[in-house]
Amino acid sequence: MRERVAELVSKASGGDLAVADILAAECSLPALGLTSIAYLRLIDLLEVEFDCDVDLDGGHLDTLDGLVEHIAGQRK
Amino acid sequence: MTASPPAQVTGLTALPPRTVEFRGARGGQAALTWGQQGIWRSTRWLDDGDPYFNLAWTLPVTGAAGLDAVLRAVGRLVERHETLRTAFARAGEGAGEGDGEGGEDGGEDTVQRVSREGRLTVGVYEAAARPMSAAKELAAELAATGFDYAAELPIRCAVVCQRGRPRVLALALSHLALDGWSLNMVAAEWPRLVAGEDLPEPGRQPLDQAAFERSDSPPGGQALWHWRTGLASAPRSMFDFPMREPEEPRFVRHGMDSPAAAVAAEALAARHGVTTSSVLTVASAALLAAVTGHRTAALQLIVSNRHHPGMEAMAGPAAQDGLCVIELGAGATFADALRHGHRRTMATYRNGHYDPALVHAAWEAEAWDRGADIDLDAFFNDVRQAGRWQGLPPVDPGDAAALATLRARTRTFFVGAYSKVKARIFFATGPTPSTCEFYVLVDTAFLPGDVAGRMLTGLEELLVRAVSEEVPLDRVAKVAGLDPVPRPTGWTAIGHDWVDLPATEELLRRACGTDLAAVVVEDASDGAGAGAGDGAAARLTGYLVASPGLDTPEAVHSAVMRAAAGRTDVLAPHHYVLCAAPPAGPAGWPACPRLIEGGGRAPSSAMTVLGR
Repeated sequence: MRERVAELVSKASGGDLAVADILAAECSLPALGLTSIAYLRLIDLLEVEFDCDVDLDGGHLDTLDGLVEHIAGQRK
Repeated sequence: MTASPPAQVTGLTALPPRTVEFRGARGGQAALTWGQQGIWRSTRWLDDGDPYFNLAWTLPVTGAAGLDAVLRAVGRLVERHETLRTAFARAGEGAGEGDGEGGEDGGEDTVQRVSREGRLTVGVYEAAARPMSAAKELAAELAATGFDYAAELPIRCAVVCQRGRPRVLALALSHLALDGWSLNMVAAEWPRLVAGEDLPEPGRQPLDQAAFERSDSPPGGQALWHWRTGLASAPRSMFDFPMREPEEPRFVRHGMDSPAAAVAAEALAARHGVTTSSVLTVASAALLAAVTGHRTAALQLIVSNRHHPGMEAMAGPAAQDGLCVIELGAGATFADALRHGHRRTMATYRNGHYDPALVHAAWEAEAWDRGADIDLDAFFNDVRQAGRWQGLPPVDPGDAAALATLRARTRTFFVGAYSKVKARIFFATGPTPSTCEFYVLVDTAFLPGDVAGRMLTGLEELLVRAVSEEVPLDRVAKVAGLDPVPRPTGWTAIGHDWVDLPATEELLRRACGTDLAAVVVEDASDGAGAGAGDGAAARLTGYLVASPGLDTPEAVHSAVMRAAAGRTDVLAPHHYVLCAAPPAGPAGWPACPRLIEGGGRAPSSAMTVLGR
């Protein structure tokens, strides 16, 4: 799932961010260069892809691993 | 439709104007999109002909394009974007017949009407020198007159030449036609159109958007829920303190150019995993809350709505206001607020596309329940492209001396004063990518005009300070050099709201036409009354002697709400107790025999009938 989420991050950024860079990043997605509008696109993509509701108040949704963990929790 | 003739501007030699004929792929009529309704409502709030929402703009002409090529490009631009050939008129009226009267018109009775074909008069000027400067002046001149939305194209333009060669296109545009995102779209297309490129047609036009928003499965359900929860948790006004004698003109706007604030905001954003947009939003909320004495701040954010599929390709207004409620609790730091506030701002941006009529209904319902108009006239708008800066000075934010040196470049300035603006405070960035260009507008009927300037320097100080140390939210006013507004004796906090109790009691008496009434702060241990926050256990109880027509809590609440319209100092009682006779003394109301009592909010509320 981590790889797929990284692909969606890249897609949401319009290709500005490479999947490899996203997977290797040790910083938050905004720090990596993901803009607000791309982040919002990403949330929409994640909800469609994984059939879940992403709660923006859920915390730790600013990193790739935080998102993966959140989605995994939603799908249990 | 027709266009106004180009303006005459000194310093430019006017040549014979040209006429551009255009013929688009289609014409048509539809209800306003939700984004159009937002701008339409704002324009209706102003006087007819007010140019406040006009956009003055310039597009450079690069290469060796001749005048005919530039005029062809103008025509193609109008043909490909239906929004540039759209009029706004009352349903059932022809072009030129709708004068747009009616200050309460939210756009429900207005239609967008796209002309398939028409003519646009384009001025042509020769500049002796500095064509760009001359074009900017010309654009401002073109934008100085309000558009006739029903009869006029929403675009005026003129070509500025130098030695016969077109150098700049000067434009005035109606904000009803384009928003900031659309301007960037047009700017990207313009050189390609001038070069004669055949661009693919836009994937969506406002007519399509209107159909989508009125489809059987309209968007916006989640956004409506976001609004409802936000309305319930927001203060009923950030401006619940005594008004003052306004300055003339009443609304004052100041600006700041601070590279240091941008560098500090970038550092804070990176440290806390948030965006610089969130940093500026939370800082604005913290300053406003510190000045107005609140621990919860409510701002309306201007949401571009361009992350939704399809809407990114549409030229036309798509932005709507989104409600952002940020907790700034006691004991928390600015860093805590950044992390919490970032999530709130992202949730707001995600929930900015909604049917304004449904949100308006939810807003009214919350006001009725709360007991006061819900005043959300505090705004924040980040107009930076992609919501970020580029090319900031390479200063290490951890180097205090370097940051201090950078602060020497900070410049603040007065922007303007206005007689009418639909805002009590408006925070906004400017578009400049290499510095924090920031603006604050205040309503001087509530805050002195100089507070706008002091908030700007306070914003810079707060951001710079937060880079090097923890700033408790309780110290924001002191750090920013701002004075909290004073509230005289008699004002008290009820939930998120500050209330002038003597004025509230006077309101109850006036609304009911009797001196036999009192308002008492009581314990709301049954759960009724104010929501979470300071004074959560308190509620206002209104006692009065029943009279014909004012013999139920519902009737009294209706009368109080009518009398309280537009006020930010009073709050309708949460509970009404109607008695047969007054007590012997003012303190005796709670012990008076009761005829009937209840919240008065709805016939089905927990109303108790006693002795009838």
